[in-house]
Amino acid sequence: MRYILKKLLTLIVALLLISIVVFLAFSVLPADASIAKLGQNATPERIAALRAEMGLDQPVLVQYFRWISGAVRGDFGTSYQYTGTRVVDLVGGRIGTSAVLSLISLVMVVVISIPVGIFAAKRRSAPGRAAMTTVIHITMGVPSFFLGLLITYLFSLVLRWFTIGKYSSPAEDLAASISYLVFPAIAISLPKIAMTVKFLVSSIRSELHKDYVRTAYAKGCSRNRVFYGHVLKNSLVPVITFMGIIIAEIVAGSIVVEKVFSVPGIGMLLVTAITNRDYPVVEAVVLLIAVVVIVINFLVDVIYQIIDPRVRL
Amino acid sequence: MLLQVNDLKVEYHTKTKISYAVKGVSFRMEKGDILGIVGESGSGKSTMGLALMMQLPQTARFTGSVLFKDRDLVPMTFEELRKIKGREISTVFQEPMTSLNPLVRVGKQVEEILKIHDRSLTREVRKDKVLRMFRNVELQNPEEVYGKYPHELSGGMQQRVMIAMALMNHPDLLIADEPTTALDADVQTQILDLLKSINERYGTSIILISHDLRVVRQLCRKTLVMYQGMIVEQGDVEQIFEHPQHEYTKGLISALTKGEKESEDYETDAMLQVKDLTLYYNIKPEKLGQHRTRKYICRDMNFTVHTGEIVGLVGPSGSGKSSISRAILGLHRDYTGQILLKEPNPQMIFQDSASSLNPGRKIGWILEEPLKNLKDREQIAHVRKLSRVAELLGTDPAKEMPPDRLTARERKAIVRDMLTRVELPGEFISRYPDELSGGQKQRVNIALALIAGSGFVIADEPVSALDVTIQGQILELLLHLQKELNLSMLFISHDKAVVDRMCDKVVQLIPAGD
Amino acid sequence: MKKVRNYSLIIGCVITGVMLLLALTALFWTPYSTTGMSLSLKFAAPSWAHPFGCDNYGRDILSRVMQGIGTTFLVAASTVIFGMIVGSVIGFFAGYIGGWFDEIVMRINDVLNAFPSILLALVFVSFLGSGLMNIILALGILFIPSFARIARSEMLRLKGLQFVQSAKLQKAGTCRIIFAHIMPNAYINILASAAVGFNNAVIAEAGLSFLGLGVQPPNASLGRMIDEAGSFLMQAPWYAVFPGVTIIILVLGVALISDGISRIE
Repeated sequence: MRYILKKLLTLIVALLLISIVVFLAFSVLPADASIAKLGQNATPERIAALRAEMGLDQPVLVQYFRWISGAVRGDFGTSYQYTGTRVVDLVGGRIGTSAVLSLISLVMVVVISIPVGIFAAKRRSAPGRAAMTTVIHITMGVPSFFLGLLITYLFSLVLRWFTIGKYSSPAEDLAASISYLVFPAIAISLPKIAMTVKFLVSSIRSELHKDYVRTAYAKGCSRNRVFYGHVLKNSLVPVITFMGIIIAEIVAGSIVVEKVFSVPGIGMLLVTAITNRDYPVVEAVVLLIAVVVIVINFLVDVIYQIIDPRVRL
Repeated sequence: MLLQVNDLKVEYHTKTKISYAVKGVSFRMEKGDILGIVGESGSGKSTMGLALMMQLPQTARFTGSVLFKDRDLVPMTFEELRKIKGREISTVFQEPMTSLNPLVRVGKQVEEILKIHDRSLTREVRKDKVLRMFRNVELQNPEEVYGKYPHELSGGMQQRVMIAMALMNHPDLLIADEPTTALDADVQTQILDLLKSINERYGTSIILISHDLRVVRQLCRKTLVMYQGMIVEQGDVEQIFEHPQHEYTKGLISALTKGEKESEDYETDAMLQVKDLTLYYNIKPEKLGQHRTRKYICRDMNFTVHTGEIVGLVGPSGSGKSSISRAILGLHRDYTGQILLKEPNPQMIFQDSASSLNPGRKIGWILEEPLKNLKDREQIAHVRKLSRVAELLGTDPAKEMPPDRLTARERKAIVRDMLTRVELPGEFISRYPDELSGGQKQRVNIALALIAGSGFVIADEPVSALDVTIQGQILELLLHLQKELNLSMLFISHDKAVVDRMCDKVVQLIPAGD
Repeated sequence: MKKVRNYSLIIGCVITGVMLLLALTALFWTPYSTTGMSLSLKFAAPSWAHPFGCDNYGRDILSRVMQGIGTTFLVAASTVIFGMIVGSVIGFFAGYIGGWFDEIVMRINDVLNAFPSILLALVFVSFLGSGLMNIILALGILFIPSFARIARSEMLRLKGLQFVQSAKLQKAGTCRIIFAHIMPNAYINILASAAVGFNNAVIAEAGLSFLGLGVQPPNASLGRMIDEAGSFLMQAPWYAVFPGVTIIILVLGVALISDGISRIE
């Protein structure tokens, strides 16, 4: 219980910290949001009027509280670029796509890397291990956007299994949406699968040398019983924590890969908004991703402490 | 005949070399016997143990025969051995904490050994048997222990669980590999008593592997002494103790029984005075809102160490031996009472010679370090005088040397001189600690404690991690240096024989409770 | 003494060495001008004259890749060195001093660490603006937490060892204990993670440049080349393939070095 409370406290502090950083970064630091909105040629009078209207002439603390109470209710103001469109609508329209994309990628990572990791960990011969290390390192090093291009070339241009840009959102047609998103998900998850396999293999190897494995053999356990009954479960525990990192990486990977496959998700929105200095949108997206990542990490910690009795102090 | 080992040889094959761990060992054992196998680290006794359990690593090759109930174990396949392991031959290991799976409740782990060998038993029967065995190995509250995870049990309880597991299928042979080494002295005795009663009650034959002759003497009637992969002596334990035949065994036993030091009364002035010392430690709050609690480590300690005296500090673990030394050295500040120490530069010789030397630095650098940090002029003059550095370098003492630091030349000379004093060759200055043996490391530690001219040294279990014969040499060196330099020493140990040999008087510590 | 060849380290060093050599050569000489355009060579396929082919402006891809490697090395090396030095010092002190200082540093660290690095880089870039220096600064700051975490855990591992207590008894000062006694034992692990950090920097820089938010022209960048090539996949697949494969080989080399370093002990 104490552990969860401590993690909860960390979660709250983290959220607070992030919100302050995001607020400072986008609402205070950029030379002036009003200039960004009106453009460089605005007259001083108009700027002053707008500043008053936007509340920019008030103390930073007041501004922060107004901003955060709005943010909690989902009010991030309106976009500079798409004048009059509420930020929350812009983000809300794309969140489903990104969520589905991340989810497919995560499922791929989990479903593929665990059996592959077990297979790889059981390789004993020197050439087998060397081959495995090389494959893992190369896969880890492929930038996901480059992988995306290769996939596009092969599956879209050569094999014509899907057409770039012909995407339907999950709300319209879930099946069609998934069958399109599978391809960017491969690009996102492949390097992550390699990372997870590497982690799992070294976790299994280090467990195999522990004393309790010797005990299990001394009891008369068969090789399979030792591996699946004792070693595997214990090696998977640290993988849970690792998944927290992987999820964050998947979210990050989707920002870049969405552009390759022209998937209209959060990542695309963010990149366009940054290019156009559309601060309210950037702010909202960054905050959203940050909160999701932090909350997921918290959940991972909680799951970890449920599974590993040693943490339960 | 339960077990007959004929000409057993074990070699380890690595990529670059072959090393012979056991070089042709033969012995036999009757049903109901308790046999001890004694030897120091590297003697091959652990490899022997692993070979008898058929648990040798893949790099090992072995020849000879191990006849267990007239069946040879050596040519058996993994599957055939699997049916014997845990059912007819069981094992108890040194580290109960790591030998149990940390993520599985201990009850389940003990139950598994039944499940593997007899699939017909129902859950309820299995659990019932486990609980009964828990009672037999004198575990309190078996029901409660059943559902615990290993880390929730004390070391002694964990080892009882391991023993219960080993006995579940009533094996003919129990191999115990250093079963008490990781435990406290009083728990050690309890576990040995338990093993004895098991032998009497079930007639289980036991092989006890240990580095400690006294442990073997407590439990076994017969023993083998191993040295460099061979059996150098075997027979009745008492016989061997009284009339050791082999040189190695003689050394081993004389190191254990070397006489007591005659106590002298010291009329010299006090080097260290401890008056009404009460030590505390803080416990972090368990729950939010709870206050920090302060607990006693020890209460109202009073003792004096005179100049030139060696005082022993003994007591069970948890009685505050290390905390007192930390307080004297100024590293633990939460105490009341007085600590008066005349020596401004007290030093310590640590137990773990491996971790007390910086692995990233050469011996020469390590030994020079205290000399570089000397700032006090008086102390520098003292070190110069003590190490006769002028003599060593052939310089004129009247000639001005910088009064506020030692020159590089002086430091090098002092380091060389110190190495000679602890009987190490001078070329060790360019070695890394990893390249030294345990005994050599401890010599460097002694040099490190003495090099800056300290007159007061705390020795915290300085030999307990070493083999018995090495222990003797190190203790001899300490006594010699103590006389030569007129050192005052606080000597911490759990080993009565060692304390008797070293100390002029003994301070006994009792755990303080709450 | 066992003498097993550290093949990972050897192969890794060879690959990285060749890459570095290419980048250094590009400072003085490239087979063709990196900016010289030629309509006749537009989308020329790989040939003896142009081993990597030509791009949509008829520029020699090999020459541009060589220059791009240089940019990548510059960005990755300077960010990692910056992050490593600042992060290690912070982590060492946090670990050694402990208490509230440690608590604050580590909480901030947790937060930054939970973040996908490219997202933070995007945040920085969005108000610092893109460009070489800003990318180095943004990525450098990003790497501070991970190095601080490693340095701290190394410190926690080592400061409990008795040789540190022994150093205290020998009256060594705090800075001397941290830098003279503890650091020589920590640098191997920090170096191994520096190699991992280097690769993260390479991929992050390529990603940012791919998004058009990284290194700006006239500086060549492998990521930007792949971005441009994306529009001409049908006409000239080699335009995307060669810069991409170069990144992979570069990352593989450094990963092998990292692997090799961690096997030294």
